[in-house]
Amino acid sequence: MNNSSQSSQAKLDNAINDLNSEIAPSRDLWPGIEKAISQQPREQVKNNHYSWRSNLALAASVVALVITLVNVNGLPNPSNQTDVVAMMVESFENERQAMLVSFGNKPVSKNALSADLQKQLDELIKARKSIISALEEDPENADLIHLLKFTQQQELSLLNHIYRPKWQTI
Amino acid sequence: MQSNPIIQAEDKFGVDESTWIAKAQQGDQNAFHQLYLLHHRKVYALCFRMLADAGSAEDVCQEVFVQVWQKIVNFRGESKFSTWLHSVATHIVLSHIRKHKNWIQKVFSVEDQGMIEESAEMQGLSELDKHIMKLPERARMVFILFAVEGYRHEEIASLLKMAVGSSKAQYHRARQLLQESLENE
Repeated sequence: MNNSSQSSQAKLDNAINDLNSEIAPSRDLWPGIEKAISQQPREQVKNNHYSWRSNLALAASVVALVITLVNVNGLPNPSNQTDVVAMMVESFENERQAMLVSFGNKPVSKNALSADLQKQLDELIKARKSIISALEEDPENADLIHLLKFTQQQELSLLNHIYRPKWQTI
Repeated sequence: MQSNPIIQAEDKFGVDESTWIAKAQQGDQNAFHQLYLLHHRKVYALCFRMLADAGSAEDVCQEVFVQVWQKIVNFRGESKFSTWLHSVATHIVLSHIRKHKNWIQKVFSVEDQGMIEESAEMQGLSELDKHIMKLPERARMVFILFAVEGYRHEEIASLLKMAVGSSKAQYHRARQLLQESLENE
C-alpha cells in the first residue's frame, strides 16, 4: 500500500468520523405523523401478542368444552336452530371472503406466516369446525352458538392481522 | 425548522427519555412528540442517506414514526431506545426500497440505479454525504449500514438478502469510489 492510498484511506476515515449523525428535514414532519397516529387506533401489538397466545389456548380448550357440553346436555332433536347455525356459518364465510377480497385475495403462503401465527390459525379453524360438528348434533345449545360466534370473530381478527398491509402511506 | 429540538424535548418539562417512552407507551401523544423531537433528525439522516431523495426520505421518516407509535408498546428497554428505533427505521426504509424498485430493476434484476446527480436538496450536506448520495444504490446502502449505522456484514447480508461476501465487496467498492471522489475534489 503506497502513501497516496494510505492518505486517501485516512482522509475517508476522517470524513466518516466527522459525519454528522443528524440531518434536518426541510419541512416539519410532525403534523403528518400526528394526523396519522390520531386517525389510526393504536395496534395493541404487545397485548395482541398475549391475546393471540391466550386465544390459542382458548381455541384449544374450545374443542374440549364442546365435547363436555355435548356430553352434559345430551343430543336433543334437531330443530329450526339448525337454520341459525347455517346462517352464522354462511355469514362468516361471506365476511371472511369479503375480507380476503379487500386485501387483494392474495393467498398468504405458509412460508410467509410465522409458525406461531400458522399454529394459531390452524387451531382456530380446527376449533370452529369442531363447534360446527357439535352444533349439528346439538343445534339448540346456546353455549355452543356463543362459542362459534366467538371463534369466528377470533379467526377474522387473526386473518385481518395477517393480511393487513404492513406499508401504509400517510 | 424546529429550534434546538433536543433541548426543547429534554428541558421543557425536565423529563428524561425513559419517562417519555413510558408515557408514549400509555398512549400519550405529547410524550411521543418529545421522542420525535429527540430522534427525528437521526432517523431522517438514515432515510435520506439510504434513499438519496429528500421527498422520499421525508415520507419514509413519517412512516417510521407512525409505525413506532404502533410498536412502542413492544419496547421493553432491552436495548437503547435509539438502537431499537434505528432497527425499525432500517427495516421500513429497506421495505420502501424493495416496493419502489422500478420495473426495469425488477424484470432485469438490475442491481444499481443510475448515479444520482448533485441536486439542490444536497445543498448543506457535508462533502462526504454528497459523495455518498452519488454512490450506486447497493454500494451506498451497504456503506451506510456498515460505516454509519454500525451493522455487521452478516446482518447487512441478511437485511439486503445478499451473500456476506457481496456485502463486503460492495463496501470495498463504495470505499474505493468515495476515496476517488474525495481525491478529485
